[in-house]
Amino acid sequence: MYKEPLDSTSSSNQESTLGFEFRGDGWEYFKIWIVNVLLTIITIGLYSPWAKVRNKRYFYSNLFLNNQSFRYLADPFSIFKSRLIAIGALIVYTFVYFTYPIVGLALGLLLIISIPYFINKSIEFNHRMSAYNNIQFRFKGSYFGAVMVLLVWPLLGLLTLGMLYPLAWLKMNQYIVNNSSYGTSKFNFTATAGDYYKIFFICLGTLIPVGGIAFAIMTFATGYSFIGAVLIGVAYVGTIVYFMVSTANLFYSSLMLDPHSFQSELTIMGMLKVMLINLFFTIITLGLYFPAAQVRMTKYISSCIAMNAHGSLDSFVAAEKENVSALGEEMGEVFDFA
Amino acid sequence: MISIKGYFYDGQTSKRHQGRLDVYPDSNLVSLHIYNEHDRPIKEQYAMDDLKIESRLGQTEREIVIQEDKLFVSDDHDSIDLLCEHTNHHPFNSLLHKLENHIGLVVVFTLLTIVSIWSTVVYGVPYMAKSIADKLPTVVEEQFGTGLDVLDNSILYPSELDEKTQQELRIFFQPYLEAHPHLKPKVAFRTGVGPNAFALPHGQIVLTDELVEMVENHHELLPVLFHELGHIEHKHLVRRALQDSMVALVILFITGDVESMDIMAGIGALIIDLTHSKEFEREADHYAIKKLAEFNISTDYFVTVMKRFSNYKKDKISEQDNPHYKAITDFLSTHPPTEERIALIKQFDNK
Repeated sequence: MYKEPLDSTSSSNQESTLGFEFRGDGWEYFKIWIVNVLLTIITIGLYSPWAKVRNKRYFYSNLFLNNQSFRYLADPFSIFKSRLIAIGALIVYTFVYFTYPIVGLALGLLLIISIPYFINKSIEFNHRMSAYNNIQFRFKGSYFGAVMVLLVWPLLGLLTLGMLYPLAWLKMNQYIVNNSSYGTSKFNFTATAGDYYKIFFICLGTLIPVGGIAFAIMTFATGYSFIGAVLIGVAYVGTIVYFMVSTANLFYSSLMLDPHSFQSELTIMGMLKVMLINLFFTIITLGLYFPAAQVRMTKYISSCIAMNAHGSLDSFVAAEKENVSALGEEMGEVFDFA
Repeated sequence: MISIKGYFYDGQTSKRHQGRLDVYPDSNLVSLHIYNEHDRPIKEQYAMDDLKIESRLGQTEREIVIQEDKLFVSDDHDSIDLLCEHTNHHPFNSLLHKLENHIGLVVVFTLLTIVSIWSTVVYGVPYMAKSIADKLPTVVEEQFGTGLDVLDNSILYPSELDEKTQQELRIFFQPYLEAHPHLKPKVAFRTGVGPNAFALPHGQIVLTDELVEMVENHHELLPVLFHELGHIEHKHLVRRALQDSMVALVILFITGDVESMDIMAGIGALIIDLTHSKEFEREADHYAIKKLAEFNISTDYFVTVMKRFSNYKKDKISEQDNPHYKAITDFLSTHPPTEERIALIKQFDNK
């Protein structure tokens, strides 16, 4: 059963490409998922933190790199407590909002001010609860940094009618990646603004001419207007898939965990095939295929990503112990900002 | 003694060591043997209580956490299951894996899930939406826009009916609209979507030029007008908006996954729309027929205008006479089949 991991203790500069691999199985996950769904229903939702952890564990424990799997460590009970607090906060907020609108407004303002804080805590929690080779991931973001990428940069994007969105996106990913670490080793994000503008302009360069042609057909050759509609549909779907694939490729291939780097080769056709199969089966099974669809998508994405390892992966060192509550994550889910 | 072969991580570095865990349940002792490539094996002693065994999950490796930060993984599930019986491992955790692997139970669970979701979505949600809509203060309803401006900017165009016809129709509709003062109905004319009529919030009713041109006399428009008034009277728009958002909540509650909401909520909304839009139409038809009777207008107009709609559709898409095709289009259609709508009149006349 055990394949030996890459043995690189002898030569520390050995280079190798290690592919990610998802070993989950659609039917196996369906069985786990359906038990979780029913237990959630009959406990009117109380079981959902346990379901969430079990589902997540399935995806982490089946994700392999160098024949060793990831782990999801969260304790369902701590998620349960945080969720209760978050729901309590929502109830108080709603009640106050309708009875003392002024106080409600102040609370709302307080919530907006605390969103960057909770988002930081949420990322921190998710990193802290993810481990590979018994070394946890970490995230250390500042409040100011979060305000910049969550509010200021998107606002600048909006004010410039989208011209600064690619830059805003780069800043967002830089913020997340550069503040992340695996144990004590920090991640680096190497993408440039040019990389994001390239994707942005390819999308615009497809949508605008095709839209123009389609509009012309629909205006001047009304008998063929369905061709115009089909054209818009194809260009729209194609652009969305291109956008998903190219931003994912850019993200993963820009990750650095010095001296190791990553590569990602998702393709439009590969992604489209997975999406169409998933869509088809999910619809004809009225949603029962959903868990298997998640497995197929994860399998596909993992199979396209690889790590370019320079030397051994044995020498990562664990970071200091710290405790992070799930409150940020649960506030985000209950108030819908994460 | 239970002996488990696997791998060990010390929690300090990412290095994996081959290892063996020997457990002596009687004496409550655990000894861990760690093998290194070069040195002699290391042996460490722990108590049983230092071990935390993660529950079995599919084919994944079994994880045993030692003193919170050390990790031992193994795929020797049998030995670990045996070990679980001797530790304070919670029995519920082993039960889960048994449930997940009992094919009969999985089938039963699936059926139970389908039944409970189906009944919630098809019966519970519409019922709740109806009782909420009935109690909803009009103030809240007024916060919705009419949405006519949105439609004007997308699929509708200004009416091409001459001013005289429009004025004539307005005067003709006047008494019937005035009979519904609590709905504050207003009629507008537009073109662009074929012969059609629809009700928007705030009592806004839209009739299309094509509809006005399709009928031969103004009286045929009354069943349509009453039908739309029926939609407003029964608050169908508010109910539908409530239903769709409640379905989204139900789905979110079940999948617990915000990211992949779209398609699942879409399917839920589709089911509820398919099963309930026809019911809304029937309710509106009932209302129309009741009103025709109240105003002493012949129900023949209802039949005539229904036939006109269905002839128009037949001309347009040259519907095939294939019965399967018909069954499918009937299910997918938002309105009940024409024959059924006409049959409603006969039922009503017999009463």
